[in-house]
Amino acid sequence: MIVTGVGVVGAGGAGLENVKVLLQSATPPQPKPISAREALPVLQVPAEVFKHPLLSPVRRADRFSKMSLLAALEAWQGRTADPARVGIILASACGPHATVFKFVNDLLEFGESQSSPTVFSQSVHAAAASMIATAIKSHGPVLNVADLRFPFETALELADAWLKEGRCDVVLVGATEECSEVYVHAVSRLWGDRFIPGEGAFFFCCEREGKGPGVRVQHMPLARATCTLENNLSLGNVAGCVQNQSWVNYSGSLRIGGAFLLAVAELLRRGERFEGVCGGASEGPVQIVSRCGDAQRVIVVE
Amino acid sequence: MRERVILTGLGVLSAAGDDVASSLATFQGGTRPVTQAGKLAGLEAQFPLFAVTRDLPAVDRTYHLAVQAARQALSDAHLEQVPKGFRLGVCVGTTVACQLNDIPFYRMYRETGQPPLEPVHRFIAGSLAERLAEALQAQGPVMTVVNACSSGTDAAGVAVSWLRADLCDAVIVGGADELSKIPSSGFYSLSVKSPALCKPFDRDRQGLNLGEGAGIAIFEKEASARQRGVHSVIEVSGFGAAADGHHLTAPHPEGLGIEQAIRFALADAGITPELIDFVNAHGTATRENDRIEGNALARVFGSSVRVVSTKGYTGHTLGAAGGIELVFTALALREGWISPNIGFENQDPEIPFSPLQKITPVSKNYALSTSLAFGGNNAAVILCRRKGDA
Repeated sequence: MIVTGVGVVGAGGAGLENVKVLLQSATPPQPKPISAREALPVLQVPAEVFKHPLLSPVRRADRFSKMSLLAALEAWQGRTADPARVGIILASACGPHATVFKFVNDLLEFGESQSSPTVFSQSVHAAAASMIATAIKSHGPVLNVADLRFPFETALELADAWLKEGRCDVVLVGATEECSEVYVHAVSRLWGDRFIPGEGAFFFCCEREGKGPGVRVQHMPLARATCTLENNLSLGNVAGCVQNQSWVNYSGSLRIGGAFLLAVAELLRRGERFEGVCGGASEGPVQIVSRCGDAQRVIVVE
Repeated sequence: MRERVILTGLGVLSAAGDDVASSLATFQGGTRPVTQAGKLAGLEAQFPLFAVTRDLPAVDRTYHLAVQAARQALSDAHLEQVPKGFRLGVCVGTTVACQLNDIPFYRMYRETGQPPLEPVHRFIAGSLAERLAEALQAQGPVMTVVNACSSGTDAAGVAVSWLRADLCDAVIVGGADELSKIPSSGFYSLSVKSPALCKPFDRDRQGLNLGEGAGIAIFEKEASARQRGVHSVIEVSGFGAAADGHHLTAPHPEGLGIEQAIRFALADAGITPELIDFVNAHGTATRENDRIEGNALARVFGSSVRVVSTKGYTGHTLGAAGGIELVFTALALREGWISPNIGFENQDPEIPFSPLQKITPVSKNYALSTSLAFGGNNAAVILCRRKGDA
């Protein structure tokens, strides 16, 4: 399959162009504590991103949905397609957990009889993708994925299968992760300050192979590639969730780090170079290696 | 030619029974297995609950439900020992098990700032599908689908796509969910819980009852099953999914999404609506769902459509519902009879049919199972009873 559109919301702001500018500057954004209660610095999406005009129809939505929608709309680029043949896949590790805890908080604070149906609705994993479907007026399949090891890579692989199977003409596939106080608390208790929690949303408009570079997912790495972007993840208490240091400074550590790196790979494929970050990548395929324990997935961009 | 997908194993736990045999006995007996499990999961007893009666741990209950059902299904498929090199995938749906939503943990965080981390360790040990894959030594692709109440049916669609794309030889597919205070409170806030026993498609229905359980099937490439010497009478013929693109919680008022999903599934199976014998409907017994789904079914199949909702036996098991109802649909085709739609008494003038009210013989070879969900997700799967391959 080929990628025909990319959308990014991250610590550098909204838009793929912002990623390019950020990486070219070779000056990472400054991590900051999420609140007075949790001291661990994190790389959050800047507050001004949530005031984007495209988000005004969903101003009551939560952060998770807003990040997802903004990235998806950038990747979608207002294209026209048969609405019934547009698929959406949204992958995440922890989903809209800040909203889940908000619902739990309200439950403890006010009791069941006063709990908010709006907050409950937004705490469901399916909410963000539903908003995307409504925004782009699509009526094809929508799938939400929540796994801890390779959520994005598996989603990308399924998008390829949907396109090959003929289920869809276009698949908008992406991954979103958010930070919350509870999340940061758990991270700092488990791993101290060994990594910087990040958040963001990364979407890709994928279509069937044609003229142009392809993207595919492999369960083993290519023997040869001119550029390898590493997204090393480990679960449990072993090594925390650690990405290659040069990237983590720009995205924060993300279990969906492969999605951020696919956006970077798309910039490299377009000829952009980030000498200060990953050295001089030359022509040829880029492989994004995500590891977790002894398993790995490789996204090959060529 | 497209890869044929057959169903080689079934496993189920719900309030209707701890396995296939006891579930069938419940259907034949025509009684409701409702439990007022007031203490379970910290839930108030003012609403009927459908709990699994087998003694299972309260902690990590969804995982235990899923493992039990998966082991039943693997045994049925003669896959207790996964052969070397066999590419077994796992795709399961859930709602409760995909969230770090432990209430005591959060209460302690609020009150002391130092909650015990045991719930976090449990969460990061892996998603439901990842933990199942590890426990059952499945080496193929792994995915946890979190499409709210259509998760189990959507998982079936993923499994079909994986098999057609040759990403694996067989898939452990279905859904699992436990009773939990969070969705219970959420549905209370949405005013869709019934204080009485649920009455799917009935004129006087008052809402849903929550339940728990797991329904797991083994989807397998026909060529793989043949190579293993395993036969099956059930084929997975078609799948369809469609988004309403309308509202976060309410289905499209005319049911366009579920109608589209059904038509996609029929096209995928390459059949016309007349060939469908019966529909195992989502049928939650909420005012809106049953009216909208019922009218969509009547538009596709006509008002003589044969419909059953099995939620009168299980309650609404959320992420497990699609898996459990997939298993029940397969069982009806395999056994040759359809269970009655328990709880129904009076036809709703807004729904063009009455569901089946007694045990009814299967007369055609195809059956449909449908799911509708939060977010406007709709999914439909078609199973076929094959002749001469028993």
